[in-house]
Amino acid sequence: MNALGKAWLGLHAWGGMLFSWLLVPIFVAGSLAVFEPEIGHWMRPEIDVAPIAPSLAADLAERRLHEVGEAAPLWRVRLPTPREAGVGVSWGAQPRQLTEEVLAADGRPVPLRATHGGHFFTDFHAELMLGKSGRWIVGVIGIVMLAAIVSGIFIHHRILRDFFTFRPRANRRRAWLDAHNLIGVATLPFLLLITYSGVMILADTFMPAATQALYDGKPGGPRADAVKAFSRKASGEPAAMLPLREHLAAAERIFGPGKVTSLTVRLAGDRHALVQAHRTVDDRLGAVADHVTFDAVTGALLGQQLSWNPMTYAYRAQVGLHVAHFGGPVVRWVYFVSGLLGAAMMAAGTLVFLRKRRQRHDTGAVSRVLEGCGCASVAGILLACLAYLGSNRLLPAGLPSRDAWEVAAFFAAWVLALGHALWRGFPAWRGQLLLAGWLALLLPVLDLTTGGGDAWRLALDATAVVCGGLLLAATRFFRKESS
Amino acid sequence: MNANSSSGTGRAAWRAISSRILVAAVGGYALCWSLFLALCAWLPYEKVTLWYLTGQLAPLPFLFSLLAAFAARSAGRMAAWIFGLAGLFYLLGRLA
Repeated sequence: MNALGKAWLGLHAWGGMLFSWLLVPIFVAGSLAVFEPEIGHWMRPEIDVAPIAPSLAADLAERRLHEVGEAAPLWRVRLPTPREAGVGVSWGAQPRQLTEEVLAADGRPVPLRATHGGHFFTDFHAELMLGKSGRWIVGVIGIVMLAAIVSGIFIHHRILRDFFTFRPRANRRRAWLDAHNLIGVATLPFLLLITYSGVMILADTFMPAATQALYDGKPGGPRADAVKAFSRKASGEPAAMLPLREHLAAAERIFGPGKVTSLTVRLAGDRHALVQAHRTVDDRLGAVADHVTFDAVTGALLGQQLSWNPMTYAYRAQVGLHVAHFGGPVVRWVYFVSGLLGAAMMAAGTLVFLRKRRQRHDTGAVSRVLEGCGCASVAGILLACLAYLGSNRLLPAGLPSRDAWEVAAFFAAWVLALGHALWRGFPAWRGQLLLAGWLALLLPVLDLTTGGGDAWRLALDATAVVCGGLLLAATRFFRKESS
Repeated sequence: MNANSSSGTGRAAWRAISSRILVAAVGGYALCWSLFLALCAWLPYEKVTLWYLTGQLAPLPFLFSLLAAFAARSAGRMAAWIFGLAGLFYLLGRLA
């Protein structure tokens, strides 16, 4: 090991181990968040996947919004996509306080259960459900992760040799170290990319120096400069708007057929009403949505944004690389597998660290806490995710605040897993992985007996079966060590 | 006596690690803030370009400070370097 590797060994081992208690859950949640719409669909078995043409979807949405949102100045329509079925409509006075519905192919609203769906994993991944303070915490953790990656390169500097070295039959510590090195080397570009871009996205929260210097501390300033807004005040005179399908057709002439994902109507019913159409972002690296605005009454083009400040695009390209909306299913699966491998790499590192302490016969309270937190962060978080998905189907659909109960199920399972791991010590690893494996295998049964079962949900079920099988296979490594 | 000396060594080690963490955190923040101030003051770009440029650089000063704080011979030495650099950037930013 070179001099820098020696200097950073403590930072890598202790920093990596302590921060992995949240890094592993953040990576697991991030991997699941790649499939946010698909998980959201699984968690709302009331929605079917019948295809709806965009123009018909616009008609259905408009009819419904005239019924329920006539008095609301703001309407939003989410058109069906290959990843998100149904027509989403929302209306209200404030953008953050809209009433939402999903319409079926016959235009009727689907009675939906209250759930955070797949967005829970995105929220947990980005801010631990703690808002701004959560973004601070995740940002700090991300910086330590970056330091752990860079220091790891210096510590395990024989990258090529490490890549071809895996001795599962060697002693356990050596085998876990090999696994840590092998996965770390194989996923190194992904880990660097995802961690750097993740910290960059959160930097706005914890480092507002440029906002202070350039925009007098106004957080919305940069976005207002980057995204063109075409707005005007209400005239106070009512006027009939052109059908939404005509605005959709006009937007498709600019963006291309099938490229419009949403329509927003402002000042609905007023002579100055506007219709804004947003283009999809799933066929480009940069997470920037081109948009076009029409006069809702005459159909005249009021403005469009089809090009972006190059630096804004470079920044948003890194956001795009993080959120992986581009590249279709292949990229999503690569991200999903790489994210889970990253979590496995950290778990293997934790196991190396803990085994080293056990071999020194260090069995005091500190070791018990390290062991318990390590196990809960890896096996416990898997149980928590499965509890969240399971509760979605087991809680009554009409239960008041059921979305909050689902989140409560997640955290309750996590706390129980932590308590179990603190009580049982190392054997808890095997027990919890075994339980997680079996619960994952049972997820399709739960799906098929509680209203799921369409092709999209079966894909999630199949993934759960594969993951469950892998978890059960992994338990044998812990059985040997227990004995 | 041995117990006393080992607990004293332990306390010293914790003090050394704590001071490195403190230098990395506070120094990283000061370095990043002052660097952004200097870039915003001197680079001849429009505001939105500068904002999105600095946003992309944000992880680097923190990463540098954290790694440097644990690679340096002492926390004091690294504190002098990091806060010296931060002061220099701050002055540059104020001079514009």
